[in-house]
Amino acid sequence: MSERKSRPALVAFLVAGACCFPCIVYADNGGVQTSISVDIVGNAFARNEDPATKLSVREAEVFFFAPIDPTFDGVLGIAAHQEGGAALFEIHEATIGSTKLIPWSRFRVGQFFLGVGKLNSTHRHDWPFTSAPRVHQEFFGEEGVDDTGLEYSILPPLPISLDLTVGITNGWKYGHVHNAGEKPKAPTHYARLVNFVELPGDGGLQTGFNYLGRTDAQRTQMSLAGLDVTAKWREGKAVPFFFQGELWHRTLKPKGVDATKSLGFYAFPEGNVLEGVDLGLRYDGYTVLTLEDALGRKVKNYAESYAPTLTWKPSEFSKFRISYQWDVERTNSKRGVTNAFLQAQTTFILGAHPAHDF
Amino acid sequence: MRPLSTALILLMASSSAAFLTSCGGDDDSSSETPSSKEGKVGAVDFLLLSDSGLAFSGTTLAGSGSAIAKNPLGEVKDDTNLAVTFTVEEGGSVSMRAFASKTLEDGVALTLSRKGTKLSAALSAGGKSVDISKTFAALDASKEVSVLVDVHNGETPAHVLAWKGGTASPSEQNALFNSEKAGDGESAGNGKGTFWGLVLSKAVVTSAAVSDAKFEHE
Repeated sequence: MSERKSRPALVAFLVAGACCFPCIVYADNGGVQTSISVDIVGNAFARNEDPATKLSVREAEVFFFAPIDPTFDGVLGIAAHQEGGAALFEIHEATIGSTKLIPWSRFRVGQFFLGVGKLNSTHRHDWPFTSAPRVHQEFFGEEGVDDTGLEYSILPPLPISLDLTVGITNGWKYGHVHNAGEKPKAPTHYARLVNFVELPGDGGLQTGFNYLGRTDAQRTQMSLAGLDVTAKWREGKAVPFFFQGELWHRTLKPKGVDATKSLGFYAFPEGNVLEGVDLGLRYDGYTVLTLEDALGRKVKNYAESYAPTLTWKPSEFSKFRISYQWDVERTNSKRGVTNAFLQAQTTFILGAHPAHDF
Repeated sequence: MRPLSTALILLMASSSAAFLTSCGGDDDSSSETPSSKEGKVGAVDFLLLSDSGLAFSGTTLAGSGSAIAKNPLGEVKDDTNLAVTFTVEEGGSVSMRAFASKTLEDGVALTLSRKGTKLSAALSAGGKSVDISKTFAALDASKEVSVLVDVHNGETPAHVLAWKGGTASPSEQNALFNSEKAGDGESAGNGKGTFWGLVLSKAVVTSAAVSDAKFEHE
């Protein structure tokens, strides 16, 4: 499904296109296609009893996608998550879009995961590791930010690959919300500029520059600026080396209160050690740059995580993964392991699978 | 390519370790001499914001006034748990404030006031307050009161839960109060700061502690 052709121009186009519309499938008049993905995660040996020791279906997702007519494509994705011990279904994506209406352009209208950043625009079962890095948890939540709005992308015919995505969504909700939210003072708006270059040895490097802004109903202004980098080399179907990382800065400015500025990143290099078996190490770092104590003295703080990850992919439709994560926090001169836990994960896909991101 | 990837992973690990060790040499404020406005409640360092009638005695705090925990909670959009034990005179109150400013304003506040043997309770956030007294009806205000309070300020609005102190496995099911439970009373907003503290009126706080949130969403 995600096999890429060798022609550079086609590769660049598909990569840049997929990075902004990871779940849009180009109309093939083939009728409605269905994709079912199941993500099962088990946690054990957590020092803080968090996450709880148990095996559960973290997510089960059903996707329907098809051309609506010769111009438009439609996507409906519904997913069940564990909430209070029960699996509750909710809309993940529901969009109408087109790649044909405007030259070099794509757009979609409806509900979707915002096309900003790398993890946020990738469905969780397709992540290269099991749990969200700290920076993603803090800025986007455990899974990601989805909302309802309009997203437009353009890949102009330039000598270099530059794919620009801009979007605006309701902004009533952002992140972890259990109600309808409130009308924001400024809706969620974002942009992502992606460049793709080929690297020697059948490699590729995708770089994204991101911005997201919003002012909520309580007049708290939030702005995010981020950089995401993905690189991989291929040898036939195998990927001997893969790297994914993101760096994000957030400014939160509640009305009448000093702004809080935070910086976080993760880096995940992964190498192929056996046929179908990959070994990677994720390293996360996170700090609140403006943290002060009650006396106004700066509090140096740094949270980090290490997560070695072993993944076995018998095919692109099934995956088995085991990882162990250490969380370490430092505040001023104090440093200690705050948590450690083992995670096992398996995901599988039934039916068709929408185009992967690079 | 495999040797390259292995080398890069090792490089990644070693550079991370190097970064960690380079972070040393920070100030350690604990060695400084505390002023008369500073003291401990339990193991937590506090600073008096208003000291007319509020004083430390050993590791307790008694009287009327405001005290802020010296160390911040860490992040505005974060989750935390406050564990507080206190006694309160008739007509007095204890207000626990999280994700507040340096003046303990603009936070999420749970205020417990004594009326005879009953506790009246109010949850304040976002400039609004809701009466949640019925959820604390089981507590005897004439005796020592111990509560655990989760404030999930990363959610919108803040998700607040409260349990009796000492509850073995705090959950939504055994909470005295849950702001997301229909009928309990919803939080009206979020805290805007990174500090927490206590505002007392004719009360004695014998124990105060802060930790990670007790309740975790699946």
